[in-house]
This record gives sequence, structure tokens and C-alpha cells, in this order.
Amino acid sequence: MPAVSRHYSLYILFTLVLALHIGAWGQLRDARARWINVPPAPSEAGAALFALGDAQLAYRGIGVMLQNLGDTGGMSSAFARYDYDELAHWFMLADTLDSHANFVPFLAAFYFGAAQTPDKLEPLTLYLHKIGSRTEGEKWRWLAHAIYLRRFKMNDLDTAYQWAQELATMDKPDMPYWTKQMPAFILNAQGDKRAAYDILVQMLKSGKGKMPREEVNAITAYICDQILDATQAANDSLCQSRE
Amino acid sequence: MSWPLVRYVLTAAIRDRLVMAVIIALILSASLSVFLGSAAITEKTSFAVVFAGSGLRLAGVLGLVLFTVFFIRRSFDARDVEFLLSRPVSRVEFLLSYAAGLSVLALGMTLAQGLCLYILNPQAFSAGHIAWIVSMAAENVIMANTALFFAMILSSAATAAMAVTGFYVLARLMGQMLGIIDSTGQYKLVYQVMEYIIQGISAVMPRLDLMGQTSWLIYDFGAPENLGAILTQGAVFAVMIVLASLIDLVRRQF
Repeated sequence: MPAVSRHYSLYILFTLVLALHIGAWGQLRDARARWINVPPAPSEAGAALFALGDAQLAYRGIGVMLQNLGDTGGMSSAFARYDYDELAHWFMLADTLDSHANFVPFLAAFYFGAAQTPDKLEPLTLYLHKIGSRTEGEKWRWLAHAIYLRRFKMNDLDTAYQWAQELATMDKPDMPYWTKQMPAFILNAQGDKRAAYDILVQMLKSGKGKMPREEVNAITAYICDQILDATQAANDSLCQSRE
Repeated sequence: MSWPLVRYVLTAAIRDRLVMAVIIALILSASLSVFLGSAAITEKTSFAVVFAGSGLRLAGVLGLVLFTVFFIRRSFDARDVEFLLSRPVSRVEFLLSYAAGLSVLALGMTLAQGLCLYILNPQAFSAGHIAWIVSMAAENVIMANTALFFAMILSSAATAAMAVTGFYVLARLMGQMLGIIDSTGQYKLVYQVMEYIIQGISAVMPRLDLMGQTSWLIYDFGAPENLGAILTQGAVFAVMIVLASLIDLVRRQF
């Protein structure tokens, strides 16, 4: 007897199970794992354990995770949904793993800092203030960003002025002259937009050759897309020269 | 030590296509790291180098451990060991030759890992990179000889491979465990006993967490100050684990 007819019932059963599986696939086709917001940050030891004791690998792993948080599998989430208090815990954790890198401060300032809900930004600015208060390298730029966010996004003039004083009196001879003028910028009466524009343009000019290309692009995009409207951007030389 | 036996181990590595598998694994690790690094919005090179360092490290250790364990178990199962010991080769000579052959493989693996890192970012090659390569050589030699030890004392290849993996994870995490013990004062007797047990275990484990640190690859701090102590401890452990394998072999009844 041929093998096919001998196992006839087996083939029918297999076809039925296959059809059942395709039916189940149809039910689950559009199902997605739900993003339940920023997960709780582990301890420093817990994060390093995750990377088999390699703190630098843990830092980079957390960096990639934060960059893609809420935006995986074709989904995207508005910043308004993010738990910024928990995000700040992740930022602080990353800082304990590597205090020299600028990846997480960059994410905090230019990515998460773009939130349209200013009331959420306080923990993020406190983090940038902490990082920017260090005298190492160009870390002071993160303090300048924290001041910018406090003054122009959160309208917290008092804290922005206090931090601007800290920046102006920082003992770092190689900082550009405009950082000494930061308190005056903050109290500037010529309008928020103009002052914000001036601060970011000064950052770009003084950071020439020192800032990575991505940061220059991020600041330029910020000026052209968020501070200036379409007409102003079309007439602005900085925005015209952008790629 | 018997040079033909060392050559026998190296020939087995080529015959088992370990060299080819390792080359493919290292190329894949490095390529995947570049891909992952390029997805970062800034510091792309740092990401690629850190992921490559970690990936190459893991791929290298896995390759060495799996080859060693399965090679040794197969040698026992096929009665190769008994045949070789029936020749004019002492048990001491036999084991030291195997350990030397596996150590040569480990050093070759390290050179390949170092070359991959160099190719990734030749401009940034620094004293930190050399420290990474030297300490990885120590780690690879330790892991190859530890795999030899577990393959000698455990009769199943799968069990031996799992035991070596457990050992590797524990050795990589030991620094964190000691840090946790030092940072938390536990006054209950049960916790104190557990702390002593962990400290006791750590005293006979190599500190693999101090070797091959990826931060050496991206920050040019120069060679770490305690590199000499790290390598000395690694060398002492490698000798200790080879001696342990030797004790097992000389006591074994064939």
C-alpha cells in the first residue's frame, strides 16, 4: 500500500491543525504588546549585573533602550505620556555607570527636552543641571541647556536666573564670553523668542569644532523648527544653510 | 610537554572547523556592533566599539569553551585518551600538552579579537586597547583551561558546558557581589553566613569583571594601574585550574 494512503488520516489531521493555526494567526495579527510607560530603573549594581559586570556596556545598553523607549514595533508614543520622574532615574543611573559620556545628556536635552508639556521637564532639567555643574570638558553646555529649558519652556525665571549665575561664575577659563552674560540674557526684556534664538546661536558659534555634528544639527533644527516660524526660518541665514 | 600532542589539539581545532566558525562569529559580532552603533543618535563610534568589545569577548569565550568541552568529552568517549596514554606519554605530560594546546588556541583567538577591534577604529587604537587585548588573552587562557577542567571531571559534555558557563557568569559578576556585600551591613547571622560563603567562593575565582573593560576602549586613560595585579591573579588561577585537572587525571582509574 502506498505511504500516502496509509497515512491518509495523519495528513488530514495535519491540514486541520494548520488551518487552525492560520485561524489563530488571524486573531492575533493586529495584536501588539502594550507599552506600559517607562519601567522602573534598577540600582547601579542591578544594571551592571545585567551586562555581566561591564558598566560601560550597561551604559550603552541603557542608552539604546532610552533612545527607543516607547517607539518600538511600529508604535510611537507622545512625550506627554512618558513618566519623566522615572526617566530622570534612568538618567541618574546612567550617570553612575559612566559620568564622562555625553550620550544620555544629549538624549535628555535634545530628545526628551522637546516635550510640549513643560510641567514635566523639572526632573530632566535637574539632571542636566547636575551634569552641567561639573568642570570636566564641555559639560557646562548641559547647564546652559538646563537654563534654556527652565527659562523658555518652563518660564521659571527664578531658577533659570540662579543657574545662570552659577554658569557665569563657573571657574573655567576656556568657556565662551556669552556664558558670563547668561544672567543678562535671562533677564532680557526683548522677548522670549529673540533671547532664546540668541542663546542657541551663541551656543552654536562657541561650540564650533568642539560639538559633534549631531549636536550642531539638533540645535539648528531646534532654532529653525521650534523657535522660528516657517517665514522667519525661510529668511534666516542659519536655516537657509542647513542641509 | 609533548609537542606532537600540542599539535594534535591544534589540528583538532582546525578539523572541527573552530577556526572558520570563530572567524564567522567575530565578523558577525563586529558587523552587528557597527549596525547597532549606527542606530545611536550620537557617539556612534563609542557605541560600535563598546558593543563590538563585548560581542567579541562573548563570541570568543563561547567558541573556546564549546570546542574544548566537546573535544575532551569526545576524546574520552572514543577512547582517544586511553590510546594516547598507552603510548610513551606520562599523564602529566599529556595534560600539560593539552593545556598548552588550548592556551595557544586562546591566544590565537585573542589576536583575532584584537585585530577586529583595530579594524573597527584604527585611529583610536591606544594603550587602553592594548590593556584590553592583554587582559582578554588572560581571560581566554583561563576559560580554555577551566573548560578543560570541567570536561575532565564531568562525564557529560552538556553538563560541563553549562558548568563552565555558570562559572564564567559568576566570575564576571563577582566584583558586583563583593561591592554589594561591602555596601550593605547585614547584622543578621544568616546574612553574615551568606556573605562569608560568597567571600569564600570569590577567593578561589578569577576576577574576570576586571579584565577586558570596554571603557578602556573609548576613554584614553592609559593602561589601568592595577593591570599587573589583575594579570598576576589570572596567571595564578590558570596554573591552579591546570593543576586541579592534573590531580583529577592522575587519580583516575581507566
